[in-house]
Amino acid sequence: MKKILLLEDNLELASMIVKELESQGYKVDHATTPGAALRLLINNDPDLLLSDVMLPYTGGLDFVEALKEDAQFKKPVIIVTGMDKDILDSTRITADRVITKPFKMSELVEAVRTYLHGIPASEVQA
Amino acid sequence: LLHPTKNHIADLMNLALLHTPIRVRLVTDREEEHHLLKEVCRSLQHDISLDSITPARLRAELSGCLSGSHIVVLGEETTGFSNLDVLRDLRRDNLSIPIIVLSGKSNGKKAVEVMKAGATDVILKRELGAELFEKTVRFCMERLAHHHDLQLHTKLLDCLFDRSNDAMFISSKQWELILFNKPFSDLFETNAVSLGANLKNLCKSHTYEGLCNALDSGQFGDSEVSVTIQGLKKYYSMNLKHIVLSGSEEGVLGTLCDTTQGRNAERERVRNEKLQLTAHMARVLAHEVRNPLTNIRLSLDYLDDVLSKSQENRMYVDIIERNVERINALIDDLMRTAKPFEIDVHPTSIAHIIDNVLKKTKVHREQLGAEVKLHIQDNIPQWWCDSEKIELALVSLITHALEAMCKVASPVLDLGIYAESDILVLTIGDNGRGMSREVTDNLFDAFDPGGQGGVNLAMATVKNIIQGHEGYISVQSREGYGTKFEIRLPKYAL
Repeated sequence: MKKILLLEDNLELASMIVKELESQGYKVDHATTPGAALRLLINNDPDLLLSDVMLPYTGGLDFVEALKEDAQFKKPVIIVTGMDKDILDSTRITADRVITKPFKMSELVEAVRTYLHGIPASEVQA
Repeated sequence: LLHPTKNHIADLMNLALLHTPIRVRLVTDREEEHHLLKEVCRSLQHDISLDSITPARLRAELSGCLSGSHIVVLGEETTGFSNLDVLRDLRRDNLSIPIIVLSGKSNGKKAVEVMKAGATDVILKRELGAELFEKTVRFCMERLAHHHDLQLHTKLLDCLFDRSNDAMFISSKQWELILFNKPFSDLFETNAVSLGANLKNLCKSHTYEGLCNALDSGQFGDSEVSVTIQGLKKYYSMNLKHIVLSGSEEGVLGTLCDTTQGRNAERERVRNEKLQLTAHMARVLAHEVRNPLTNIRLSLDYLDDVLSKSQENRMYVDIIERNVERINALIDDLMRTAKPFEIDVHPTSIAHIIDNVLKKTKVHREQLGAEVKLHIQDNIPQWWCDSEKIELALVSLITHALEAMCKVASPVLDLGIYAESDILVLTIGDNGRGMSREVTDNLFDAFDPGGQGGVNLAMATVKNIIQGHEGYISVQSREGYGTKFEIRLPKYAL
């Protein structure tokens, strides 16, 4: 079973994402802070990171950037953000995929499946 | 003497007061006149030297032979020597030297004639004595000094008017123009600005409403006025002063200093400050609003199966979805407004842009039944611009025009494109409801408290795009008649 780490401080949103991804057959760990996400990352070795970028205190952007700069971290990163995509493009971040809010769940699931399996969702079982 | 200075005038006054030696040049063929004047000069207590010259030599050499002389005395006429001819020659040579004419007999008519021809004074030869000659010399020098003083002041006034970048005029109390400079005549598009023209009549056109109101108010001192010249609104700081023209006749001195650039720069500075502040606010707001929007949308996804079973429920689900989209679009607009556009210019076919814009607005135009009048100059070369952004701006402007014409019986959308040297001019006109001056003044300000919300956001985006091309956008509108936008794009922006 593929493992996903979700870093999202909005609990309502996080619960919906977790529920949907779990229903699709993934194991989802949820963290609301980069610190908690780092612990889950070390302990559970997820296959994909799904992260918001505007988080209180420590920014999600810094966290994702640090991960992407780590040569040992080779997992795909999907950013889910309410920030303007143009602004995000102007930052240093190089996520594999950016999904802007408000999004449809089908869009998120499609992206997750593409990065975890390399093929569209309709053709894959988790 | 053609360019009098303060020092020169002081010298003349010293001569008039006989404080400095005076050199007199007598023009005569008669030896007895030389002796007569020499005796007169000798009997004076002041240092006056006398030289004589024949009229023939004078007429041959004119100013050349008068160098160093302060006064010319023309002797009595002879058959071969006409005072009038000599006077005319001297004055034609631009000599301002005082000329005293000696007359053999009293002849009022002749005296008037020689004075008109440029004589400073006429003396009867038989009355010529030391006292009269001294008086006449003093009078002539004093008159010359005053003449030069006046000349100097006129010249300074001309300089002040001609070299000033400010528009200046002097008028009567009834606003009839007495004097004005080029920047003043440039204020008016017509050629009707002429001496004697009435300023109030010149301002009757609505483009000079601001100036006309200022004149009508009768308030002198400083005021701000606006004038629309060739479609561009310009602002002036106007100062009106009462002046005395002559005697008790009063007039008006007006100066209009162009403050458009400074005013625009100040508006831009304030706008940029607002942009910076709101850019941050917008980012925070976007994040905070988009989170609950996402929750609403995802929740709808979950409930979709249940809710969509009923037709009525489906309608409400659609309403929620549309409003989620609408709120998100407003956030997009706000984000676009709050940051400078990145413009990616490349050679672009303007005709292609217009085609795309017309396609994108087709449904809206057809719903409204709007007629499109295209005035496109032939052979417009490719222009350096960001076609995508320019299309976005034009679609916004056309949408604005179409919405303004929603209650018009025969809506007409007028699109004009022509090139003026290295400037591309695009105009978008409509015959819709038009806007008040207050609305057009702040139309492009997304943060205008009296603005129209979404319209101002969209217009601010348009302005952002045009400014990103180092271009300029202006709007002219009249309530009940319509609106015209004009975009001016330089060929090689950035």
